[in-house]
Amino acid sequence: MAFMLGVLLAGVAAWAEDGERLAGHHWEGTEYIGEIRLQIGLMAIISCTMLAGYYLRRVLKNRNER
Amino acid sequence: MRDQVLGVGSWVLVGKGIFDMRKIWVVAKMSLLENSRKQVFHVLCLVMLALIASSMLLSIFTEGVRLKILKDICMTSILFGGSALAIALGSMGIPNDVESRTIYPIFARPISRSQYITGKFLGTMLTVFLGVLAMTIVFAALIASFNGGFDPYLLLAVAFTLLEVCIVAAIATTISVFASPAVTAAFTFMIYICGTIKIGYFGGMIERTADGISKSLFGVIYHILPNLECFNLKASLVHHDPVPASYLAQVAVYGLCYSAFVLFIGMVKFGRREV
Amino acid sequence: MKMSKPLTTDNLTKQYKLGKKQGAKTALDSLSIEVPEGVIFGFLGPNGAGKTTTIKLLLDFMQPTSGSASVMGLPTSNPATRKLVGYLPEEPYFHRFLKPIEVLSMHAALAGVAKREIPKRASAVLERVGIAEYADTPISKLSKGLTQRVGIAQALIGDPKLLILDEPTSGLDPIGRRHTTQLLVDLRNEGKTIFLSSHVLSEIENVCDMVAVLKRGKLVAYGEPDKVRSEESFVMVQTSKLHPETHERLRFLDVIIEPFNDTALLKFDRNNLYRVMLVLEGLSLPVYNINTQRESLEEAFLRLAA
Repeated sequence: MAFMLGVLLAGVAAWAEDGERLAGHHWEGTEYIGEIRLQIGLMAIISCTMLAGYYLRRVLKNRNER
Repeated sequence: MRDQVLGVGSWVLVGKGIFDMRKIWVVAKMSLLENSRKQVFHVLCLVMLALIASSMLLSIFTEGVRLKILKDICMTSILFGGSALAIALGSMGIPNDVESRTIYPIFARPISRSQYITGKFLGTMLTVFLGVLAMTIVFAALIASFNGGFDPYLLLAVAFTLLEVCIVAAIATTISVFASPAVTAAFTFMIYICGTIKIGYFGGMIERTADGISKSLFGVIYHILPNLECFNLKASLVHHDPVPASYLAQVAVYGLCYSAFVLFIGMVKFGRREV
Repeated sequence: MKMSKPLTTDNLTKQYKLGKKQGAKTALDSLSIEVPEGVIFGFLGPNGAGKTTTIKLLLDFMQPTSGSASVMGLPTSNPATRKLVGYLPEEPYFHRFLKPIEVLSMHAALAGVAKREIPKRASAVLERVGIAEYADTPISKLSKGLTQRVGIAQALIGDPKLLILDEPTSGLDPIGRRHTTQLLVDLRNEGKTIFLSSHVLSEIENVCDMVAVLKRGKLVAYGEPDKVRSEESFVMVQTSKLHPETHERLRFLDVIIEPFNDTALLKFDRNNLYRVMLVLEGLSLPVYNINTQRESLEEAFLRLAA
């Protein structure tokens, strides 16, 4: 029941604390698109860091084995 | 660690041998066959189809209002049905395979864990797609019966709903790598709700929170949560408001990137897990 | 060119962390074995000896705490090794809605068999394990023995060089067991290497070229069955049915007494022969038969694993 209510109410303005945030459509403001861009950037940075970390570790491991 | 690289490689080196679509497809097909036999799939699809079909009974409203309410209810049903399917099927797939030990003969084959996770995710999405397709056909037929034609906005709205469901399925698949189905379903649902109210609720809450550890913590959670509301094009469908193409393109890229990133985390985690 | 051994482990060790207070439990302790090409290798040990852990390490289901293992010279962490291996789990579990032919098609695709070759190969393998007539019967409707045979077929579908079989005869009736044992011999004669763990030692004894016995994670015996069995032979004497008092007297001489039809079989170390015969003579018991026997693999296993 809570699940159904939650989903049905998920997109409703009642969830918002301040009305101004939801004034207009989400594609009209800068809040949503700004957050999207920031998150894409963050994901790219984290992925690259993880990959670089892995390759660095592998290079070090290979050097030690030699 | 090998699997982490294979995982990343799967996404990067398309067609270079690492991204072996045949093996992924075999796992996806198996997952689709398994999911489509589950009771939860049948029940959720039937309930949603019944909800959509019952919108026909909205005869108390005037013609214009009736169509708008119909679209509103049907789009909410498709989003709810799709998300519920993604959570239910995504959270059960991998733990069930581990529990029932059907995973052993599969892992004894030259298949990487990344390919397995990708296959399971694809299988879940294919099943959800079948359910959403059935709902969309009924929905389109209802709209056509009201205004005698096909509404192109419907396809756009459903496509972006599927993209939102794709993120939910990816989150469920990743959490299910290290948690039980019940915990996965509960946690994914929480993330889903929080992701839906992220900008409207959390954004304001963070602004009002005094500087300190709490604010930093909320900030981190805020940026981790998916931005799900941006996939909601219900308003565009109901009012026929055009959405800028550049915005849609960025949201689509975001949906795919977020799903891939979440799955990547799952692959890293699953690569280290003992089965 | 030097051929790599189908299977090698070098000080393979696996420890499970139990928690901060309990520390770690060693499931496998410095296992070093080499499985030569074209043999049936019996991997024996009581429950909890570390057999399944070893198999899981060989298939990269888990990583070793230390040491290493290789298949055809490649480390087991390389997924390519699993292209060379066919695996039968202890109790093969498949999606119950699938038919044997579908299971085999799926595994053939995962093993990298060419698409056009799959139907032919699947039918041939089903024929070979003797369940061709059940090809289109859902697994949910198959008996445990037939499901086990689907598992064996699944292990063979990729035409592997090395077969890792965990209890291949469990769940099979005597005819099925005989059939499977013969199949293993045929596969070995075709040049395949078979690594099998089993509790049915009487069957293994006849087909194994090499054995390894594990006890609490440690290798306690390794080599040809002849070398694992005790060199010393024991004496078997067949006499008439014994009184309970006689039982007691003979037990003092470490005699194992087994009833055999209306008679009794006495089994003892040959060093005790004189004393046992004195007892039998003293009680005027007849001796129907007397011979010497070497320890069987099962007896060796019980001695080593006890």
